[in-house]
Amino acid sequence: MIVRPHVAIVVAIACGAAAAAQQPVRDNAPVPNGTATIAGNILVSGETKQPARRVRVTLNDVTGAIPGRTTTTDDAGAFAFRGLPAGRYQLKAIKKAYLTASFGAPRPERPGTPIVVKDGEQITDVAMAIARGGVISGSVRDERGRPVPGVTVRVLRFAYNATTGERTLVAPSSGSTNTTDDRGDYRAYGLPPGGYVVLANPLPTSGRSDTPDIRPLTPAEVQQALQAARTGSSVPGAPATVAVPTTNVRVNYAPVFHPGVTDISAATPIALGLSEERAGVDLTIQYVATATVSGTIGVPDGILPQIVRLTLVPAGGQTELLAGAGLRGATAQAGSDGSYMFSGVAPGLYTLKAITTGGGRGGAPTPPALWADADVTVSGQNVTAPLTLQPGVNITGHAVFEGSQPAPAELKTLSFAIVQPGSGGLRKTSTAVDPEGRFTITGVTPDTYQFEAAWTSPVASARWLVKSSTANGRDAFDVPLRVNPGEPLDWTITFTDKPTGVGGVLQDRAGRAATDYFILVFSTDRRYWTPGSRRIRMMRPATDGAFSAKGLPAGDYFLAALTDLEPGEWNDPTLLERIAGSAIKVTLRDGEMTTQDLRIGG
Amino acid sequence: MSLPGRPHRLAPLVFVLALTIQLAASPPQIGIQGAPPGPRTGLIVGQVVEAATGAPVPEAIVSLTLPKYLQDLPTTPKGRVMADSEGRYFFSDLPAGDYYLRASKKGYAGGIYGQRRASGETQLFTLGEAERRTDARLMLWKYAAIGGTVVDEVGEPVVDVAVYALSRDFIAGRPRFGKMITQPWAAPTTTTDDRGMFRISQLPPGSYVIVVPSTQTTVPVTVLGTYAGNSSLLNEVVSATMPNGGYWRAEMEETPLGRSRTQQVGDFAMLTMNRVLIPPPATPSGRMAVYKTTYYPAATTARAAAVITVKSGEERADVNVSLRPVPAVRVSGRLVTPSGTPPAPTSIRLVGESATDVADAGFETVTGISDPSGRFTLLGVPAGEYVLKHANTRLAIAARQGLPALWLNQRVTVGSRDIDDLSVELRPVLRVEGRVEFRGQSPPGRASAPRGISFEPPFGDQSSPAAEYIDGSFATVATPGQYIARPWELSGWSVQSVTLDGKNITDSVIDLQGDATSFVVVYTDRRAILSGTVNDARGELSTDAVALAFPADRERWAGYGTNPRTFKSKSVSRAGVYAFENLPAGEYFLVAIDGADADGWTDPETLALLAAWATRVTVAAEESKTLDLTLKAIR
Repeated sequence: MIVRPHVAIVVAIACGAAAAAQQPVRDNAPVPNGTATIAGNILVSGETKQPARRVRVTLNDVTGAIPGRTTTTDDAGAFAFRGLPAGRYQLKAIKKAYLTASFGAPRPERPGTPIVVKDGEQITDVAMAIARGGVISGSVRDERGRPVPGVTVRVLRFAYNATTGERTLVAPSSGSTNTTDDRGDYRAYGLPPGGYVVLANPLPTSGRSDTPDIRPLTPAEVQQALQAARTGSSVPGAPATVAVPTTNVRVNYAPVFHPGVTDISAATPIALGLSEERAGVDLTIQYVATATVSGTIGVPDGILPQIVRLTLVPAGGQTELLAGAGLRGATAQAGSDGSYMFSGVAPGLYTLKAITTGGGRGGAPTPPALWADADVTVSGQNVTAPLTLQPGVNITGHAVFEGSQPAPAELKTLSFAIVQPGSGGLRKTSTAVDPEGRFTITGVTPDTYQFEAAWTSPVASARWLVKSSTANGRDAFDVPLRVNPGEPLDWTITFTDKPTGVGGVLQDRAGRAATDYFILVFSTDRRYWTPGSRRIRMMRPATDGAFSAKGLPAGDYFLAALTDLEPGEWNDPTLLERIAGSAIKVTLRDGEMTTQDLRIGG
Repeated sequence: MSLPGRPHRLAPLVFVLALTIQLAASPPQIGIQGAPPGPRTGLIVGQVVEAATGAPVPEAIVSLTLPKYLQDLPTTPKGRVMADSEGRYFFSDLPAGDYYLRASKKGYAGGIYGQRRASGETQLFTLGEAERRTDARLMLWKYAAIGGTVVDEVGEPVVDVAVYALSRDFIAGRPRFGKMITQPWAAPTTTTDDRGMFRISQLPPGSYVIVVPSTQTTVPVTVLGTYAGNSSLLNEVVSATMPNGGYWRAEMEETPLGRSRTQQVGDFAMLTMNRVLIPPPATPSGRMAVYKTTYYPAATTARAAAVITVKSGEERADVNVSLRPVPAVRVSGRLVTPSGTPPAPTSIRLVGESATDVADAGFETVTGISDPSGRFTLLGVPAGEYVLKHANTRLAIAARQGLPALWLNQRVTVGSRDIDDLSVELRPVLRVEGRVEFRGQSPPGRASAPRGISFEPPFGDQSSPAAEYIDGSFATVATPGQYIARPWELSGWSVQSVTLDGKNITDSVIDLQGDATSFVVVYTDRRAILSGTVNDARGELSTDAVALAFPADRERWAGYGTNPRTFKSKSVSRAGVYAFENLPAGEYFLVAIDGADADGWTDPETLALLAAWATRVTVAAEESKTLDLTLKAIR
């Protein structure tokens, strides 16, 4: 379910640029004490105004510099954080079976607005409500209608991937994965409203390819075996030919989607409303004829010096949805003779990939990684798929810092990765970054990747912003980059602690702080309207109406305010096109924080 | 787990809690190279049935392996079939051999050939050359289910909290709950849903207590989020937080620990991991209340809990638990080592009544970790008698790596006031070392199973130090206390004697209070076998009997450790023959009963009953004897 956001007309009320003051911050700072208070009450959404007990309330400083705090509500739903330093704090209310609420969010699961508190200020009237999560329940039965216990059932919601911006399936709550009980029943709770599919997976969840398949016996075969046993000789050594037929049929359970289909595109989606309980979402699991996929791996010089790992991943345009559902395919390792086999493979389209790892025995350097891939169609018959390995691509990287330099300990928290769009966020990470900022990513299978940098330290992450990212002279910052066979890449990432960005205050018509809006800043250049773009940013104003976005590349941007947005929806070009007309244009200069206050007009 | 080599969920724990019954869930993993000899003309036909009713179980999955040979070899027979609608199955083209046969079906326990109870002894199925057998009956027991609701003091459902079913068994003559487990995650468990409802639906028939565990964990704020890359600190944090739920690993790796705290007092934060009861907030003056571990219906110990006995397929849906918070205080102090310096951050736990007769790791009341200066604070401790212990069980590994292996075991009485300055002294562990001798025609060949020795507490209520034999000797460490030295059984050999400082301590309790480094274990290849047939009341050979042997001396019916050599049960073979190997010399009672009735037979009350029907027999050292038995109906 997508609520179409309303676009608010905003007018610029001031224009100017000012270099942002840098706040020195460090990790593991002692817990700072202050004099301010943030306190209030939490209710259960609805008309009863019932207090929400035992709600975990978390308080986090938006800069990450002040350690977060947590408390729980009492029987009256009251909570209090005392002795706070001045700051801007995000407040969240968390309770099992309820939907997490952020202060100032228009609905559950939406980002909230920070609370601004000054030294000595006593804010004691924070009011929040939490809504009960929805429920989807049902049972899993076999083809004959008998309940099947012990089946993993996952209730999955369509959502935008936070990293890649693609629409995918996610597990929406800790109560959304279940194992059926002895009656075959499952119950998923704590569900936010949205579109769902339900997946029953009767196989072990390890995803290993060695799940043995099963040969079904027919009553006729058993009769023949019994006949053979009765008529045949039981004298040891006597010639005995048991005329028992052996068929080649092999079966296994396959993961199925509600109501009982193996193909995700044939699944019946469920639209779940806020706090809705939906019973009777039943699934019928079925045996499918399985096959083996096997073959031999060839290399140009005929020697197989390394470990070869293979993956067999469902293909056919649904890969990212299936990956979101935890169906990432099977893995196998080739034998020393280069042969491999996947058994128990259900019918469908697959992508078979091979990649080498390790090698370099006896202290020899690790040989470069090799790769191969092939498309495979399986329909109950055994498939032979020979593969020929080709050299993989190596990426050498260099992190460059403008302004000051990061401390060596800080640099250790930096890592790089490449992410394949459509893989559900599956990433290949770099080696550790050395003191000179150098790293490598080896054996990359040629494909298109999003290039990423990440700091595990939240403080470093807030301080160091990517200014530019190029590989072999091509932009690797905003758009996925093609890695070509036989072309090693030289990747340079420049970080700066002089952020480029925009900030300001959002006011209503009367000039008061306006907090009930989502502010979107996005490039005027439509080429950058891609999932995960660095030139699109969503902000929520704080209780004083202040908003800011750092780390945007210099250039021309649109600035707009909206009444509601689904997380990730801001990557949708149709939405951006729709709001561009009523947005304000700002120009961001390199290394400067541009101030642009806004007023709700129209 | 007494069986070394079984997969552990964590790094191998060398301090292990031994079991009396080996879990026979999987066939032996070790086999010999080569192909089984002889023609491949044998045939096994059989049926899968429900034990309680004898009704066929349609479409069960039946697997066959030949454990003597390496499973991975293409020449080793193996198979996996789906039985037909009448539960019938077959395997053809088989060479002669001893086969492992197992039926499995979701919702059922047991299924291994030879089992006469859901968790009973298993047998291999012997197939002669070109033999055609039609009697391979495999029995499944439908799981029982226990369900109910967990609510708090105002009747609000408690959501996503773990509920465990601990089986009641007799270990060394005393009741013990959850005997198969060293950690509660191995027990049948589930979590409550949004209505507070739970249903534990994979219970083999037996007697259980139902428990909602509650452990508070306190970690210094300075430790939160700093453990990345510090493996020894991470180990300690894991030791302290592990009992709090099955998902500790994901929790540790994916989110900084700091995010899951609920309360903070000074520099110490109380954590709320997955599946943990969230306590009420502290009052502004800092008074806390917590939920205690609660056994159904409202008991604080397993022994005081209501025992629920379920038959195969039975369900109980009214097992409701109501939780009430109790006042709690703060216990702070300082750890010091013998040298007076503070130890590196160390996990600690307060073990109270909730862990009595249950695994102490996982049912402790409070866990925590000390800071680099040795200071610790444990928040949320209810009044009671406790033992403060080291939470890290990897003492032996530390000792082997040359690290200081220290232990602590200190009584703490907690009342209604905070304890501020508890001084806790860590002590060095005791060294336990010795050598092993094999007296026989030829020394034992290449190891097909690990060889070593365990030191079992007499009542199996503490962990068991253990060590493997390396070059004829062994070395481990132990905390002071009572132990029974128990060399592991070795195929083809029997334990002749165990001595310490020249004194014979075979099968006896020793009190270790200092280093003990002169153990000598002697194995002999002269084996003693006590065997015979079992006839039923009509004088026909019984194939469903279990033969039991136990000491005639009632004084020896308790405190004999977890893997006694003097208490044995053995299913009869297809020919109605039982055989006990290597019973130590002494006087025994011998009795044969129906295998289905053998659950909990080591309960001293049951032993008294069995003694009335039993035959008394004296076994001399290395003596083989034959004694035929008649099946007794004890029900």
